[in-house]
Amino acid sequence: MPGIFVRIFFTWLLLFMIIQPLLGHIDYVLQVVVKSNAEYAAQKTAPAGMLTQDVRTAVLDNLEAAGFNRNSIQLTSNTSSPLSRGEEITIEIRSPRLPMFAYKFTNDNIPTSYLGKAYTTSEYIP
Amino acid sequence: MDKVFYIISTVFILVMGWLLQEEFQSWDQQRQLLKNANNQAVHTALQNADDFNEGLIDLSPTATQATYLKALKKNLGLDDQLTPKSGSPARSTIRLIHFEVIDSYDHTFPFVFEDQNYHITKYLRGPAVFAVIEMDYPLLMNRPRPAPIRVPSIFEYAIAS
Repeated sequence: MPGIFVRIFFTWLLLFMIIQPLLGHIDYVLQVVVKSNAEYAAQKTAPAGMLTQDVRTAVLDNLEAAGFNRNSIQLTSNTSSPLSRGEEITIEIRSPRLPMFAYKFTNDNIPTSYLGKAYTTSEYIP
Repeated sequence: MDKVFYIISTVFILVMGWLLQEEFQSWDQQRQLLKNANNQAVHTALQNADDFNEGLIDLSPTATQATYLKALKKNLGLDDQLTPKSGSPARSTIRLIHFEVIDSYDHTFPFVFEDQNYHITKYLRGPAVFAVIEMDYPLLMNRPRPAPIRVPSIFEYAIAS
């Protein structure tokens, strides 16, 4: 009789313990992709002083290649016109997050989006 | 009894694997955070160059370092001792272990800059700022602490030809 209990509970425990790190790792890798793309966009943005269409397209292409839906990505910047040299440019990327847990044991709210935020200083000289 | 040992050892191995995975991920995350922050700070420090006297780009070492530290502190949410404030993504205190301004007074450009200690090489076409920061390895389990995370960054002021 105890053998049945062990088998029922242990199998489930084992399944969770194998699935959870895998989910965690996928979640982590996607977060890294979002963050590094925000940094990439910030570095590319500095010479022009603003987020240009070329950089925007390149970032969306990168994220789409990593499996994100292009239309669900929010790519924003603090400016729509070139900032002059020495001013700060902010780039922010938000995209929907995968479910992080195979089973939710608590009622805590889980973050629903990945956030990548990067700063750079404008190099633009009009 | 064998069954109990089997269950305990399986759970133990899986938990250890999971914890190590989390630890390596957080190492990687912290390293990327430091690298990006250092890149951003050396870039900002170089924008300090605004004296184009006699066609030379003049970088004052003290003013450049002050701008560098200000940018680093703002980006990572650090206090004056470079210790993370609450809410900062950095795990522990950051140490600035090397800061160097390479300008037109001491060097003739272009040349190949190489630092054997911090393993960085770059072909420099103009004045540059070079900084190295360090942070303790972020441990999750109690074990001997591996080598600290150390990131060098360099940024040059080159005029496109």
